[in-house]
Amino acid sequence: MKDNFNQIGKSFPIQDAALKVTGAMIYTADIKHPRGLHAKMLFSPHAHARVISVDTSEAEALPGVLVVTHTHNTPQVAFNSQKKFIGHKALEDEYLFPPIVRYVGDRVAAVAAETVEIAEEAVKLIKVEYEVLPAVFTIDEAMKPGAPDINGNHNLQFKMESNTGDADEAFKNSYKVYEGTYRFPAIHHAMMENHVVSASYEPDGLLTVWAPDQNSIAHKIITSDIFNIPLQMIKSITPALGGGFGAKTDYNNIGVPVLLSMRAGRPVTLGYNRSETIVGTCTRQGAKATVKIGVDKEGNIMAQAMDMITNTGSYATCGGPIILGAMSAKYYKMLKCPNMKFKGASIYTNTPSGGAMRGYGSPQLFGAICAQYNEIAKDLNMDITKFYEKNLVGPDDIEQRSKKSLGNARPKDAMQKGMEMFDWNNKPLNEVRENGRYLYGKGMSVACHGNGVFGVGRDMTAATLRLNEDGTALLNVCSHEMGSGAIISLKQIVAEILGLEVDDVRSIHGNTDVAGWSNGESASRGLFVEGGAAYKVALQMKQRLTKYAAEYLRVKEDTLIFGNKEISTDQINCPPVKYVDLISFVHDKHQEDFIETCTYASVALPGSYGAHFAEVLVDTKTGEVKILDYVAVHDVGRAINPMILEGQLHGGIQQGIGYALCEDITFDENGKVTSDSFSTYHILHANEMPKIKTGFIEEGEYGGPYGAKSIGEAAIVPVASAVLNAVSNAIGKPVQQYPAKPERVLSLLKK
Amino acid sequence: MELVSFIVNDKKVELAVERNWTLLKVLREKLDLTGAKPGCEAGDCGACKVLLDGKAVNSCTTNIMKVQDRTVTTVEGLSKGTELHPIQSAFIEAGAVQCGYCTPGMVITAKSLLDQNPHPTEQEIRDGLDNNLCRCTGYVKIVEAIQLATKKLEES
Ligand code: FES
Ligand code: FES
Repeated sequence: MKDNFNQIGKSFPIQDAALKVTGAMIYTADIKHPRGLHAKMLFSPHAHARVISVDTSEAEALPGVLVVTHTHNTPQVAFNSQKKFIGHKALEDEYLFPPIVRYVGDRVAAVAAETVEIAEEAVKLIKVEYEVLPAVFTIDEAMKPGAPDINGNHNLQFKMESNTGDADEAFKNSYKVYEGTYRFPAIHHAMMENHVVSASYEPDGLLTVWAPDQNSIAHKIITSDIFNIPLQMIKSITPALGGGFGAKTDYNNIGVPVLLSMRAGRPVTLGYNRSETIVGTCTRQGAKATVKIGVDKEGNIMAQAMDMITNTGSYATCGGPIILGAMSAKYYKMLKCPNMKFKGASIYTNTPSGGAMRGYGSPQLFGAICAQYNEIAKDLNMDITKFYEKNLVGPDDIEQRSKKSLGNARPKDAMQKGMEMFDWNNKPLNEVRENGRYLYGKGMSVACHGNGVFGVGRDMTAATLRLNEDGTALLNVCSHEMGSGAIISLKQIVAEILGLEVDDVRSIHGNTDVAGWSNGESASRGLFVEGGAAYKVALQMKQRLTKYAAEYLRVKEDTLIFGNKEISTDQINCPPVKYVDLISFVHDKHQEDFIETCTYASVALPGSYGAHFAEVLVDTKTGEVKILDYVAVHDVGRAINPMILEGQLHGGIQQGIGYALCEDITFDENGKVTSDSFSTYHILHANEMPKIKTGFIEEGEYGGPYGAKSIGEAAIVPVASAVLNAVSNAIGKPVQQYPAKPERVLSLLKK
Repeated sequence: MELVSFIVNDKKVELAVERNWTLLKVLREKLDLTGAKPGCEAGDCGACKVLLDGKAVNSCTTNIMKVQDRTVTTVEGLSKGTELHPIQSAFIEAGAVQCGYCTPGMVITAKSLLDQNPHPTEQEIRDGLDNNLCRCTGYVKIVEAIQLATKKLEES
């Protein structure tokens, strides 16, 4: 798209970069609270146990200890960490301190003390009597008849089915039917900032919570439910997020410092270290996905069936229906195939609870599907890109299940562009190198994610925009800047519409006292929906300016031109009016301020598609996989801020490669996490990353500001399957279990 | 409690500490220098890096007693007032900052690296960042920022 924009399509660094490079950015753990106390948690050493009694006498006797809380002295109000709004039906099975702990790392007791050291010492002095119960750690074990029963329903948390057409009949009429089962481990978000919360309950009944929080509005509601505090008396501040990737959409332990502060009458901070964050907070759901695909002789998909079993771990959180629903929604956004079905089940195990994580089910879903496509294409002797070309949806295609338009869906354009950038057609599928020591392979995958939750439930954001006397603007959207650059993009939108520079717009965010309602930082809605709110409120402001500028300049409204903080007209002999003068004029003459408020409700839920390409070299001696080249092209509608888009994509690729090759949370036979540090849970380092080339398809999307759509989550979705397809092609065997660590690659090579 | 004295960001400090405290704890809790971040407190992530006698170290694994009479520079000490160090401006311009939690450590490592090797190759930059983890950027723009910083430093 060629347009004459001043701010849209230009690269601006994230708005708080100067604070971040100087160390001046204040994150939650950086705040010192006057009279503040420090909390530490006692985590369950057992995977499944009834807490019979808790003896806190010695801990309480330790000088400097103020409060000790546990299951027998706290409110037993059940909640769900992923409850989004009042009336949201989410199975409530979590407690601040549960009477029966469900995993090694579950919350047993907490101490608030004058210092962290005293709190740590006190935790060691708490004596707990447990009745140990049998436990179960994997989906397969949990589904066996007679398995230890965590929830009284044979570990089944939720199940669902959806379909379109008649897949069973179409399988019968297929030329060939393929089936494969793929397994995915639970993984850690590994945001660099650990979980930390401060809470201060004051004598007037006002509760203030500081946390790196992706959804402070929803978490206020959960706090209100647990403690029976009315919402006007809860204020949530999100100072800054040192990364979230979904982990911080979870309520998690927010209620614990709240409880401690209410008991102690002083502010309390509960900070987790890395081990506690890995062990004691949510993960990406492990999963087992069986996909069955029927094709005709030409490679057209006749039928596709998915049997997805997710591991929700110890608690329901977003297990079902949210994550399975999200998966099944994406499932129908990719293919023209009219006969598809999706079956999902969410299963409890005695492991950390599954929660939201970037991609929200899509990496598991497309991990299985795209691997199976790779196998099918090889079996049909067809280039995988030709297979995709035949089966992928295109612009304005109808989604087979809902019979609604998929919008401007451009997976094929992304694939074509990626093929050119990667030089796909001139590279071999695989090749033996250096006398057989190394196996080379190329692989690719196309997948998608969404843009908010339109059609599933409410999807709205309120925004307020004010103009100062000098014409600069204050934008207020309930957004939580995670580092993803949503806010800078919102500022660009407002600046573009009002003829301002980006720096003329300051954003007020991360404070529930001043913000209106919004769904929070999830579902890749930052730009698509919150950006929509910024767009709408800025247009309202422009209308107001237009009306008064026409009056001031005595010209018709449709002759006005906005730019450089002034409004001009094409009429001759009519000098422009500066915003500062116009605002002063309106303040004087009409005694009216420039303040606009709106609620923007999303109008669509298109897919954000990406095509990723990888070249790998597998060392047959060590089993190590080296990525030689990487290309990613995304259908983004419009690149509002190319630098931010690239950054999102780069980060998604680092996370996705880790998912493919080295990241998994591992357990010992008693369910204790054995990968609880960055030396045992490996994320990719700078010298392990391949060179990355990125590209964007900008064909505009209905419903997005300036036609833009999301990148945040879509960035990670195709990564692991592109990498593992390359590995599979190199070694000549499908990789059906993530991650492809060297020992797994070696054992595949031996097979 | 023991007394230690050292120089931090060009200023001499003397304070009472427990023998087992880390430099990170002292900087953050006693000196209000919260630029260095705890990410793992085990020497794995580099979010807590500071310069100790000019070399980047993890302050989370540096015992405070070892700092006696030495010189510490934290990320706060790189800028002069509101004037940014060329490495800091390079990080902003290159788009190397997202959530920013790794950024202070990255900037410190970059400073240490460029002081020792003003013209590193890309591979040397990547190897130099081996003890700094970032979960947001895939390191791409961080490497570019350090390349940009070499140019800026040359010009300044
Ligand atoms: S906090 Fe020091 S290396 Fe991670
Ligand atoms: S910018 Fe977030 S960890 Fe590096």
